Amino acid sequence: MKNKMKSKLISAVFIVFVFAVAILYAFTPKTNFSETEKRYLAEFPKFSFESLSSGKFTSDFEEYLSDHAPFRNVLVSLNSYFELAKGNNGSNGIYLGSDGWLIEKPFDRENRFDTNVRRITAFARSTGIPTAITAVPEKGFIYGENLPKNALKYNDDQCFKKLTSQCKDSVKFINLSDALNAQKNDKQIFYKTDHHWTCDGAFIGYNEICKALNLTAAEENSFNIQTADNFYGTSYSTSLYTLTKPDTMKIMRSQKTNGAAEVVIEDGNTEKSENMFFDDNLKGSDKYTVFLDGNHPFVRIKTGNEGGKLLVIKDSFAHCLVPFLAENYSEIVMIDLRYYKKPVSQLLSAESFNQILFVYGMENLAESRDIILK
Amino acid sequence: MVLLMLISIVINYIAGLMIAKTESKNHKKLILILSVIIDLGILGFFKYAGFITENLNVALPFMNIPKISVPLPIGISFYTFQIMSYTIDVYREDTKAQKSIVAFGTYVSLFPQLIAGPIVRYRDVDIQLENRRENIEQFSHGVRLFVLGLAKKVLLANPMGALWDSLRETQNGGVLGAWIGVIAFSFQIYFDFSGYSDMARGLGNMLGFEFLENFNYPYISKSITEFWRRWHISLGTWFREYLYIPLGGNRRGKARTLINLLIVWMLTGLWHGASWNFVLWGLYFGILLIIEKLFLLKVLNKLPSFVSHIYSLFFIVFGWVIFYFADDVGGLSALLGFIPRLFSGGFISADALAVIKGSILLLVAACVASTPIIRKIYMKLRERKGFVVAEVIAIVLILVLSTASVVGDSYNPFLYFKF
Repeated sequence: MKNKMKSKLISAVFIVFVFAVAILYAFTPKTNFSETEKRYLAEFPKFSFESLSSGKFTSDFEEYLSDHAPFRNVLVSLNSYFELAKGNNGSNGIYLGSDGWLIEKPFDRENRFDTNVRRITAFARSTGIPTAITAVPEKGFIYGENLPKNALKYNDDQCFKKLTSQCKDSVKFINLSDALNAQKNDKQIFYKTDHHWTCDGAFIGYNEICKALNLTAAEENSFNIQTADNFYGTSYSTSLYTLTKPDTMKIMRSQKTNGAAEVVIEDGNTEKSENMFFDDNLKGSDKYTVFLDGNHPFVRIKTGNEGGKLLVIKDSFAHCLVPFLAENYSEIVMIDLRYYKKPVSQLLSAESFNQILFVYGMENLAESRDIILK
Repeated sequence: MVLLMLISIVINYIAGLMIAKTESKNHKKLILILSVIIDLGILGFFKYAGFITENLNVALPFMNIPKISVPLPIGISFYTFQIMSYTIDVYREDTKAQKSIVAFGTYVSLFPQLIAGPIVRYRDVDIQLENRRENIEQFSHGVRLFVLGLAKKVLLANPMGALWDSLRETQNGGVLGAWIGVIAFSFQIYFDFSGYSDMARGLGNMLGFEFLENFNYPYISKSITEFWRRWHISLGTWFREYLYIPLGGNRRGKARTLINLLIVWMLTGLWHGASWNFVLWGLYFGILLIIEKLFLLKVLNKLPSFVSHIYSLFFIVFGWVIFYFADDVGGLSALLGFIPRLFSGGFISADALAVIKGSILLLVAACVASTPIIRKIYMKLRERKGFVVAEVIAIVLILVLSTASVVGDSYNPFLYFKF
């Protein structure tokens, strides 16, 4: 090829690329909510001389451009695999492990763990109601052998140690790590594409809780198994390792009730349901909300079973655990301190609970700024 | 801000014409001095007023000078120096005064290099301003340069920045962790800056301009003197031409030469930003250059080249440590806090090692890209049959990966939602 031809070719490639991007921007449909990211995308910035001269317009415009890039998810996914090819596994916060495991990086060491535990124990002392706490370790702590070689160290064992030593008299600490570790190869304790534990994992947790609280746990074969295919969870949507296979979600429903209960959700307004499982949510993108409809400030469940009254103070790790606990309590109230802003003491003096149970994922227990107990 | 640039253009355009028209040497000089005072006054006010008042308040607390904070107009450091090169050259009769205000305005506001250089001297482009012909060869050369610059910025500098951030934030990362961190920063600043320069030169090419090279593989230098001939060449040239030599350069005896060098380097430092660490950084290099000038250069020339290479890299990298800690990231106290980490506190921590392991390929790629190896291979292969196909693939790959990387960085799942 002659030099002139080469120059033409290279120039043409560049010009075509630039114009193709511009045309795609103009003609691809714009959405304002990103399903995978669960957030609203940047809006087209309003133009004014003020915003232009302060630089706000241009930086907002840049944000708008990258939020609305054509084939955005394809590009993000490409970038994830490019980082992987460079040997930088985990650059997007998620390790791509062996066997299709997507594993969150360990949480930050410099965190609020001590403060949060101190607040919980102090609160427990003040209530006079028997209180227990359980924390679900990180996925990477349990399935460490599936991590890539450059993975950072998971320090959940240190957290367990601290919990054991700080929870001596006022709070009963229910350590799940041995039980989960013992069964991690027989059962899949976590979802591969989501940060939550599975029903199998929660069932192990349920058994440990029953042991600690002197309850008789329901037998595993007293539950019916329902499955939901094609579950892509948060670990997937954070990293967009799009070649990963989806999880199959296993849902365990009591044979006796099939999950039926009187459920009242207070979330600004009051919603009622006759079942703890929200099957309609399996059709949506966030399938984990099949359990008790996901995050809400306040949920009351009248189970119809025999037993006492339980208060669960929790994050979303409790959602698949509570249907098991429903077998042993007549009433369960769940509050989520991230959204429930009334003093808990008010609730405790208005109603009488037999037991308080804190259920948190380890990362949230270590990082939450909302564990404020009055 | 656009207005400010227009004012500068008009003032210097008129000054240039007046200098050219006036017969009297003294009048010429007067006009030049006036225009330079105005140019530096504007730069001084917009870039340094906050810094000066802040320091005056520290020195003279009873004065209670109100704090001035003005937004820094984009590219002001670059275009002010460009404008001054014009008036000074007209005064020296190194170039003719530009009669067309459009052409002169084009020169000052030339967008490709407005933000991050190079500082294009007027006399290097005066002919191109009016007689340039865009042609396809030059355009395609521009494409190559632009894409190369893009790759440097997005695929090397940005991830290096992330590596430096995570190693800096890894407390007790050990000596090796800290050094790899500052080496990552050294790569970041080089590929960032030279990437922008390449993109600017590439865009210039596409528009029919030819700008001089701004970086020439600075990290292969065997002395600090050589480093400054290879790093930000247009800035070094500017200071030599319009400050060092007018101050008398090295023609007025040893003592005066040393003072001149210190002045030039202090101001070179200050040009980079209104913060004490930049002054310190400038003086640091001034002193190193003086030492090399006095005797060290002769010694270095006799040493095996890897020794002088290591010597240079050590002081360059250490220089970037000073450069990093500007006032807005903690200033000199943060610098003093960081330096011990380079020399004590264990070899390397497990965390730092894990971070570095994930970046080994990146570090190797950056080392290779800092040397002329790729260019040499390119020059050898470019005439081969079918090489253009490889070139097109490389260009498309860089464009796509860079886009993916920029979009990927903005991908920001609402993590709070997940619990």
